[in-house]
Amino acid sequence: MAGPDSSPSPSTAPETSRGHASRIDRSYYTRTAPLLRVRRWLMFLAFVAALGWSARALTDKSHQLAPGAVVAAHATWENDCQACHVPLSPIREGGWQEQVIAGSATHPAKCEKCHALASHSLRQVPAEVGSCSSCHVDHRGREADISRVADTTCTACHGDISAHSIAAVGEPTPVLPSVTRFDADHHPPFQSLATDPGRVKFSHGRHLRAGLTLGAGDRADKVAWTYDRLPAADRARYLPAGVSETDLVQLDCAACHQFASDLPLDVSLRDLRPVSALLAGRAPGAIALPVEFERHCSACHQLPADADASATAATLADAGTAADTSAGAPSQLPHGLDAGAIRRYLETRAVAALHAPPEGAIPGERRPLPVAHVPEPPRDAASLDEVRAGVDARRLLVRGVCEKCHQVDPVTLAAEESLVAALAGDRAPQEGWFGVGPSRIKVVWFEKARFDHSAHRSWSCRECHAGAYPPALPPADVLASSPLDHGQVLIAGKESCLGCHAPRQRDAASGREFGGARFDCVECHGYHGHGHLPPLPVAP
Amino acid sequence: MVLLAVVASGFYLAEYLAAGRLPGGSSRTGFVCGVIAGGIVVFELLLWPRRRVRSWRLGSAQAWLRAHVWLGLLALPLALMHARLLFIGGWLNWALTALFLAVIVSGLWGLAVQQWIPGWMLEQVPAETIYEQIDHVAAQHCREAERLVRGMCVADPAEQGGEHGGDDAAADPGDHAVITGLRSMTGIQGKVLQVVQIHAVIPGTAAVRRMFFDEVKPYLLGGCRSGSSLASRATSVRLFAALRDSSPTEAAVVIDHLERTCDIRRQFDLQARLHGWLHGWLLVHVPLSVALGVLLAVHVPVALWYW
Repeated sequence: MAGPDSSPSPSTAPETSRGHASRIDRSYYTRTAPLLRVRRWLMFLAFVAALGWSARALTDKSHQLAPGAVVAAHATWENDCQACHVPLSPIREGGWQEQVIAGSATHPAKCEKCHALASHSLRQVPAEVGSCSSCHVDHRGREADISRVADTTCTACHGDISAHSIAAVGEPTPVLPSVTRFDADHHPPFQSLATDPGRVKFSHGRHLRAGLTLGAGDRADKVAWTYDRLPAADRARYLPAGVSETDLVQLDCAACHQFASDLPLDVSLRDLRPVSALLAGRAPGAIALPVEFERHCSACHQLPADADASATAATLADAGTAADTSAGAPSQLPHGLDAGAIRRYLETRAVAALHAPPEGAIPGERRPLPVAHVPEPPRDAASLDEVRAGVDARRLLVRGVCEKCHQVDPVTLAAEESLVAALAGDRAPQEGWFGVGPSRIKVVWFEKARFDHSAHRSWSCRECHAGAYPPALPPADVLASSPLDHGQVLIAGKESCLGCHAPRQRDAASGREFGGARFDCVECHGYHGHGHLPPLPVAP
Repeated sequence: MVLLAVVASGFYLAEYLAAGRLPGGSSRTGFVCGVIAGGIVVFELLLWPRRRVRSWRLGSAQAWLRAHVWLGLLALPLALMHARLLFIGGWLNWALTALFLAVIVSGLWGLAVQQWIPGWMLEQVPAETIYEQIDHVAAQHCREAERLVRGMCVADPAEQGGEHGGDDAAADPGDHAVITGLRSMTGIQGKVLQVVQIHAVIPGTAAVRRMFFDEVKPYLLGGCRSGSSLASRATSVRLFAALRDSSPTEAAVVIDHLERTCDIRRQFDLQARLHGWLHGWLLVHVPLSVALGVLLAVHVPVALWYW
């Protein structure tokens, strides 16, 4: 734009067009601006750096490509992606990818090369079962617990379990309680605690009283148990520090319910073999070891010696009387015999009674074979009748002994293995015998859940087993207050769990805060192993 | 765009509630978000070649720029959902996410400065010229001013043959000078060319000439980089007021022109600074976008290979 100025000496002489044009450098666009030049250099550097990073990524897959470190158990295959992954195949079998992307290959179960586990349930719908990684998500760090899956992986089916269950052929679809979370309303009662299948007559309350007596109203000759009445071998085990041997015996839970972690170091390995299968995979203090007669009962409930039937009768009639049950009694009745073994034992003792006082024919070990020393059997009819009478008397006696604690079932035995029948030539089945079935004392109560006693050791046993304790009643009432409780489940239900295993909250009434412990599904439940094991791979 | 982002967020929330954990890139929603975000990134990168082929009928530049901005903003929530709200692992993934966020932030910064600075520049820099021409135009102004000074100001005898001497023949009396000025008319400002008649040398203007060569000329040629005190408007006003007081009234034409020329030079300095703000963000945005494109090209096949 050119024009006159308001200056005192304006002129109308215009600038020439050449001069006017020279005001603009017409070649400026052919030169690269400094900013653009810098930008291009930076673009080049960024391109090269990104390429370098990419090259590094392809050689250091574990750090560059993986979303996180694999769990420590899988660390060996940290850099071998294809140990678990199949190229271009979703690792989550049954995932959305297969539904959306037609023809997407399913992921081979590479996990099962190492982890061959039983299926979850025989009632599960096979099409709804995903691959391992559907629930177990790895690459979440070395210390991640990939077995602790989200509740939604469980409630996806258990939220409406009837719709996700199949029935056996010919059976209706099972109606099962659904679970959406662990609380009072959305989790059914513990089914494992519905009934107690135990067959041993027992009163926890009676055994937790001082002196183990029934108190007032009991038999006159019944005296309280003191520590000095226990066999010397067991006395030290039961006698607490600072307690006199003349004091009343006071048992506690640990007297019978022992844990592997509580066993003395000198315990023989043989003692642990029966429970090794139960302890496998569990913490040493997770479950109480099975109660055994020899370890936990025999100190008071010694089985009688057979030498003196009259003295034995008093002893067997009621353990805990004034009868002397000190150790060392010869030919003590073994514990745990079946009906046939009882017959052989009693026949042997009856035959032996004809000849001489029995000696230590039956070693005091657990479940000995009672045929070690069989005296010469009698041949005459009178002796056989005497033996039969002796067997019958002892059978009644022993039956009474067994029935004190066990439920006995009538059994008819074949004559083939009977010593007396063989001598008499009698081949008829023998009635009137009895058998003691399995005690069916549950060692692991929760069949589909986990409970770790050691994790709850800071709590009193009474918190969950209050029913096992004798009520604080006047002596006149204790007889009625200590009934047999072997048919009663003495484990509290989920209400006792919800005091801790619930979201942290405050009780509106008391203002007390409670909860905060984990309450997700896998805190108590496992997924695998309730169904059947997959077939083992056939070796080539 | 907002509706799409809200819908995607709804799906993401639903999947989170169903799964009990934040869906990642391999989840249904995360994967779809990743595909869309990746496609948007590719589209964003196409803006660069688009500017190389402006003659092609591929939509207006304004439409492309709007799509660039809005789709870029949409890609942010989608990418975050694809990246499990940043709860991710793997250095490549982190680098990719960090680059993406840096590109978005730099883009937002650029969008902000592009919205604000041009209007402000229009007000503050009426003498605006082409950025690359600033030095050329400033030199032109310097030559005009020097011609005026040489023609109308008394030469300092002590400086004859010195740096202030030079050839005054071009400024003979009766000649004229074309100078650049600013004019404001009905609210519109602009540069104008003025022709000033050079009648004769004005006595008593040696100080004007001295100040031109000592202060004004270095500043006109070097701008604020020269370190001249004239870079400050307050200082400039004070110096020229003092010069005006000590000079004859007839020299006001020259002094006024010198002051206006310095003012234009200060505007050029301001324009240069604003130009840096206006385009400096591209030094971050564009190179990082290139790196983002490269890493994205690696991420996609690798993620599908081991998904």
